[in-house]
Amino acid sequence: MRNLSEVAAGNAAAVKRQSKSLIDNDSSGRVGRFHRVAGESRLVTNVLPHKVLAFDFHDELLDARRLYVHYSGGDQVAGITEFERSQPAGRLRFEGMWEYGDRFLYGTANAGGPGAAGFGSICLVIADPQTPPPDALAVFPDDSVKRYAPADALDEALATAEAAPWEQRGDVAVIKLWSEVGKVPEVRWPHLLCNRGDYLEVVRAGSLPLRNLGEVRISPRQWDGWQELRTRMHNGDVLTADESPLVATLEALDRWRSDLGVPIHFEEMDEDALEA
Amino acid sequence: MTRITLIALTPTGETLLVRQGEVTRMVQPPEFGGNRTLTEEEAESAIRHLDLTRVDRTFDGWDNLNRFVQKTAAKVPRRDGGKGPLKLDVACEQLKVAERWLAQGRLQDASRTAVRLLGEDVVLQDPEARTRARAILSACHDAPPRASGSSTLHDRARHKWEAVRLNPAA
Repeated sequence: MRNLSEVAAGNAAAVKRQSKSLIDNDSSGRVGRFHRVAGESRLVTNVLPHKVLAFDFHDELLDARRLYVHYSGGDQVAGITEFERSQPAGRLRFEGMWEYGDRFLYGTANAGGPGAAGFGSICLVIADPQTPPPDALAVFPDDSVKRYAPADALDEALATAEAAPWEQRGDVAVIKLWSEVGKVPEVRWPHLLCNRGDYLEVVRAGSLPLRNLGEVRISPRQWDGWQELRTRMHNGDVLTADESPLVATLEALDRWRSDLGVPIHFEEMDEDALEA
Repeated sequence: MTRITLIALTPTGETLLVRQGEVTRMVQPPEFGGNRTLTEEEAESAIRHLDLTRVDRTFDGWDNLNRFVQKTAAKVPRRDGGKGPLKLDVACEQLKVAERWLAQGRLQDASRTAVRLLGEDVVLQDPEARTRARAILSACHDAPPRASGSSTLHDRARHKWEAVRLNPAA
């Protein structure tokens, strides 16, 4: 098994060279500006309420296996079995090629907006993925399963060649998107970098306590809806089984804000609305 | 009786992937995209992306399915939220909700909220919150009755979602 951070570090010089060449060859300067925008992007993991509640219970962000163990009431065997049953073989093979692969937490390089909303519309922004020091950290130009194991067969050589250090996410973004940069207004570059179907995937392994979140981004519409549910609940209304977790999520995020100092940033997260 | 296959769900039960006949649908609250039809490929992708738990179990009707979802959700460990006294910031959020309901003509909801909040020490002791709660109550009493069709788009979407959960033919 390979060490992801070491492999990424080994690719650093080549990635930098390729990116620099593309920036230098762009007389408009746009590629260079895009490099700066992408280089300042943050590690975001998009989640649904069930993950917020699991993270809240453990006071840290959990990788998928630990999530499934949590859902199995702490039963390791049942949780891991359920995880393996639920996930495509390609993901298991991709994770199997790396040290700490069984503890990977996935996110995206996000420079603003809803990002990879297909994973959930609650954006958890990690303040600094290097803190605490991770066991593994790298950025890939695309969703790893989609790119390296689309039909469950793993392209190990390509995955190894494309892993890059987190610090070079701007370079990876330039190599991937330089030809698109001129076609999109600068204000839409965060969307170009990370959207529902296309993003730079960031993989991290290692402990990540909730206090290391930089902020939570959520749409005001979601927040208002959950506030209404909580108000109804306090008024004595009985919520449905699917509404209760939403109130619990609101209370968890409230707690993160008040007890852990994780700010909540309200932002229009509806990709369709942003497209309009 | 409608036969519904629960393909997968979030363990806390707010998002379901179901199949009725030939149609596969994601069923979730409107703020997460509401109900939508998915292809088989999209359904597989959703399971992976959302870390859904596979179930692949068929139920006679939504009531039975809902009971299963409730039982599943109840097994997931959750932090005890604690039932301490109402905090001022929560009370202020609820005043905002009541003001919104008032503007939407949901007088009963707004009034119930204001009455409850006026029974909370934290509101009584805060002049601004107390004034807002009283203003809501007073406006509820002064307002002429309005037609019930004044709910927001959000509410309508939620009602529709609930209707689909309870009656898949809706």
